[in-house]
Amino acid sequence: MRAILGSAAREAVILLVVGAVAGLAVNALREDGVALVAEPDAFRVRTNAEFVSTEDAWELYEQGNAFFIDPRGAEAFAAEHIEGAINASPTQGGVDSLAWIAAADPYVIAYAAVGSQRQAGVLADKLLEAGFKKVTVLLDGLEGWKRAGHPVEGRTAGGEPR
Amino acid sequence: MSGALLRVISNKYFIFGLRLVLGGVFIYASVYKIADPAAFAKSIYNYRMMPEATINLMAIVMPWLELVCGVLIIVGPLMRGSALLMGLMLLVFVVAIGTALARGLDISCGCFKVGDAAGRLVGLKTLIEDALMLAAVGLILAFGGPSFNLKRAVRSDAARAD
Repeated sequence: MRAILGSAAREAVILLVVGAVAGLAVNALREDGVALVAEPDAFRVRTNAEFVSTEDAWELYEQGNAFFIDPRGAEAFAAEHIEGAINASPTQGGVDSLAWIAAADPYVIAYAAVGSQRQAGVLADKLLEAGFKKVTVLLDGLEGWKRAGHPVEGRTAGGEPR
Repeated sequence: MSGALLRVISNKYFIFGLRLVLGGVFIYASVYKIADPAAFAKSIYNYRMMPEATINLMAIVMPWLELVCGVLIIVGPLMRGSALLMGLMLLVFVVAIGTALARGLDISCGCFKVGDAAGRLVGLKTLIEDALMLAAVGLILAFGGPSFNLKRAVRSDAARAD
């Protein structure tokens, strides 16, 4: 078995080189090729809103100054969301349903889970268009919030959604 | 291990069948990733496991490794190296999906379709699929022979029958 793995490892190195050369060559030739090293924040969700760190969002939350809005589907929201957050779809109808909070002029923090942060960006942009002033996107989303040990609620979080 | 089971899993046609399936899956998986490296980079980023600076390079090279290994594990040359490299990639996928599940990320697995909201979410099913493919790689390495190919096997069977 050791001999088999030894010859397999030698072949794997050849394949690694072939794959790397092919990938790099094609990437260099194609028009939509990507940079070898991504720009800082290249993977950040595209939005006109500012980003807020988990720590700053927590500070606003503790001051009672933050209003969290979760644009994910109802099922994902019911399973788990930031404590006190409300669910609103990133559509015109979803934004219209939030008009009642505009009067209080809170910090509105849109967030989603890591894989659906794009929805948070879309919602934040729609809120800005609708005239909300203090709109931000939670930089590390729900996962960063949970990682910091901040409160969540929902079916899988051990409590019922509000 | 019973003799009958050993005979089945070491049967050259069974092993060739595994090579066909694995090769097909890897070739299919590589197509979307090669077509859209930027979206694949985003899928990798969503796992939050790799330093951002290395993500694009991975997104450029890995799909080509999948394609090259997928083709060669079927065709025959460098078959063991292809199997070993596939095994290493599958090991990375298993760890990535396992940790994503443990962290409660609801992200697209990035297996066959790439981008934020594309394809299947990571889950137990994707983890089991990858673990099964990893087991198949083990069988191919153990029983695949240095350069088995179907044509030669059929010929040798015919010669033996004569």
